[in-house]
Amino acid sequence: MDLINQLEQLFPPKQLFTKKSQLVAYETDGLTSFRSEPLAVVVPETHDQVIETVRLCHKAGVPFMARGSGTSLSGGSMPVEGGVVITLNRLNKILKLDPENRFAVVEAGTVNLKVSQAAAPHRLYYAPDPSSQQICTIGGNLAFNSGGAHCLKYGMTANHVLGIKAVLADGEVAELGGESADTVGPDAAGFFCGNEGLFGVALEVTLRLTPQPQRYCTLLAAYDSLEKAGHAVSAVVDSGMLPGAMEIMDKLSIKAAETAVNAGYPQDAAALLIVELEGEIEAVEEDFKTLRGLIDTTGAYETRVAQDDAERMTIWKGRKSAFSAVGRLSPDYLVQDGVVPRSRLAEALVKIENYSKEYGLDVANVFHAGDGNLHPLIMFNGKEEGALHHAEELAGKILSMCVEMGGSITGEHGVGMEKKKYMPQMFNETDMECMKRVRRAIDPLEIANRGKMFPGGEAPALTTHGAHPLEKAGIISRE
Amino acid sequence: MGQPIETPTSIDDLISQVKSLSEVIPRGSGTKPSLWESSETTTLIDTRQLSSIVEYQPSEYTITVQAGTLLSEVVEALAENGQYLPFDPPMAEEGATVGGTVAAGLSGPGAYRYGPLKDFIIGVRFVDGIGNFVRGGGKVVKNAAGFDFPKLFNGSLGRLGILTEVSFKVFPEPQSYVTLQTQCESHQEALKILPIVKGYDLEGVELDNQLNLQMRLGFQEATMDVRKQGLESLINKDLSLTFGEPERAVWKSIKGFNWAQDNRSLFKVATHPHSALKFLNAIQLENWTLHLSNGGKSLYLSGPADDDITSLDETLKSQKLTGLQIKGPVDSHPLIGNTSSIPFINRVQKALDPENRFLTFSPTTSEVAS
Repeated sequence: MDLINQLEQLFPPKQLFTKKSQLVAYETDGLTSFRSEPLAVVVPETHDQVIETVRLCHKAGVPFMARGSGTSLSGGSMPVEGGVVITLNRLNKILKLDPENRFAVVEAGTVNLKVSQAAAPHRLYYAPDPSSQQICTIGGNLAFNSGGAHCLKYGMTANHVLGIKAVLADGEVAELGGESADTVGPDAAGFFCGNEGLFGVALEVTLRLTPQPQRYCTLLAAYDSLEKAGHAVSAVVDSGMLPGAMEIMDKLSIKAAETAVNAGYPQDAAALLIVELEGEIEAVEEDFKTLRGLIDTTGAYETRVAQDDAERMTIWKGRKSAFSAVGRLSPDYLVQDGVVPRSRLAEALVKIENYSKEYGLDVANVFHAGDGNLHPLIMFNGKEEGALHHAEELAGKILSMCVEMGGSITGEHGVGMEKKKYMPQMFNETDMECMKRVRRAIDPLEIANRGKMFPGGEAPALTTHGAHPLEKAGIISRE
Repeated sequence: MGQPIETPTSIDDLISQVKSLSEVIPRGSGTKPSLWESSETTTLIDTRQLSSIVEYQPSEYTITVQAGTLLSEVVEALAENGQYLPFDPPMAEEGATVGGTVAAGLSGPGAYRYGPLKDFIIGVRFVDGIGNFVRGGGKVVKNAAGFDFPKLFNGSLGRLGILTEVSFKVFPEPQSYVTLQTQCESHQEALKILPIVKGYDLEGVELDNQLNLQMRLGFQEATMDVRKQGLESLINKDLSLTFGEPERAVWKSIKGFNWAQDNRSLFKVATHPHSALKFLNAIQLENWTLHLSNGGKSLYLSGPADDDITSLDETLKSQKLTGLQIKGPVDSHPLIGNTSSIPFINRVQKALDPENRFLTFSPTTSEVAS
């Protein structure tokens, strides 16, 4: 009996898609440049269905890939050609919420923001906040160790995952970690995070919940040069403050954000800096006085302070929508995700500007300045012959620059399909071989999300498809 | 005769020693004997010659050090720039090394504020079981490339590879501290206070064996009084206040495990407040000296060196809790209680150590049979 027949035994027709017209919706993810057609899509409603699907795939030697909402920006949730897609959106229950011990147990298909909403009555929240948090799922966040705007202070997804129940690539069910925010023995749950789907499929995740800060203090400062904004970030860091978030937007992204959401940003600024402090009221207010004095010395020609929550949300709305807004300035664009040491931010921006001139392509910049995570947005017109390839080349130059400066090719989007050929720039052959040995120990047939993270293997041809439909509709955004 | 010892002075040295030996376990200053004490066939690799601060730029909020570096040196270098390791590692004064602290996965009371060691380790270099020199993670605070070996090595017990270098994220340290102390009637009462103070940015919440609850605030001078009043009104009982040198001594003593006597065993259990309480109700309290750390997220127990580890192991298992023996003679393996993660870790170990040079995490089939 072939795999499809076996899946038919396991799933009723409404939970199993094999027709081309049904499969097309699953061909791509947030990185629309890549597409490939799966053999089948299954929509499990129970953990056992997921486990059994993985076991059948293992037995048949057929690749599989689990996905949530498909917002990956690195092609991480693009199907493996001819493989099975396991979509987890129906496994979206919050199984337990324990406010006193500050954790929640959720199914992998639970949407990120739902966790914070459920915890809110207890004045708790789930800290990692990728820009797509209204739609992306915890399972995807876990697989790609997602970040957000608050990583310097709060860390990435792996810092907030306490326990995982997962089915490994060969069908074995593993229970990693537990309910404690401390660990004893190797941090297996932490190690499972960021595996990019290569170890198997997370089913249930125990998340650490964080007390909501008593107070947020947010300011926006406008500068006539990017360099001044960069130096302001250094000044804040050197003062010994630990802001929850520090973000910079350049001229092009300010323009884009303003066009899209009317954030009221100063339109003539060459750079905007957003700094947010958060914590206990008295401590934050005291720090904020210091911060305002400090910003005054950094050459900001205009400073605005959010007077209430609504004003704070407006400042953030412009920032969070900046990338989808760029879609209004250019028919196509690539988002990169490299990291440089924070002290070299200004240098990195000058280099990106030079590359932009060299390639004749506009690059807008929005970045998490607090942790050196750049998001250059390379604009191009996909209808022009070779334009995508040209843009890809420029993106590659930026990634190489990040590695040369001692940073990383990805801060939060993951390697996926998109950046796998750059892995050898960051890790040598011994490092890569060691990772592959670990992968094979968990997945001897290499069927779990085959073709991702490691260079080589089957990569589909690059094609241009414009922005993701949800992105065009303003529902999701790239960060 | 004790265990044979090798003392590598370079990475090359270390690699050739690993390749030439059949069974090895790394050791720093030896402050956590249960992790490395084993049979005479296991060679100790003393890492203390691999000691230096490799890279430290305060404005990056990161530091990279060799694994044999003393914690006290790292703490000092950071303090000169107003920074600290936010997981507040214990036993720095007792001579613990960075590598040993990571391998044991130990954090101190300060972890209450921002999280334990696993949340601050961002990069590692290690020699695996077949002598490969491997790098995982990186040196920047945000990085999602490749498998997260830094997380894996937190609590690796010297059994997945020999750490040579570690990178940490670091933070600015509060300018000064005060400690608020109150006497509780019972563990139950103390645990009731914990959820009440959860919105406060405390730097530590510890409950000792005499049921003294210590809460540490880091602060700027201007806000100290109003913050202290806020806490008092919440808990509705008088708090005594310590600051200056006596205040520092309180926390130094906690981090040195001074409450646990030298010749007794020491265990750590990963808990949360309710699981800690449930566990305390299930054991013979009179046998143990207890210390509830990190707001109830870790429980330390000290008992007679010859105590019955089997019954402790069974109680932990029945409550799905995991424990680690840090001091005292080990029964079979330092990890006890719930070991549901271990089958997964064993598979990873097989990849990192295919020739079985490192010690195991749990009894093998033959050990169980014997």
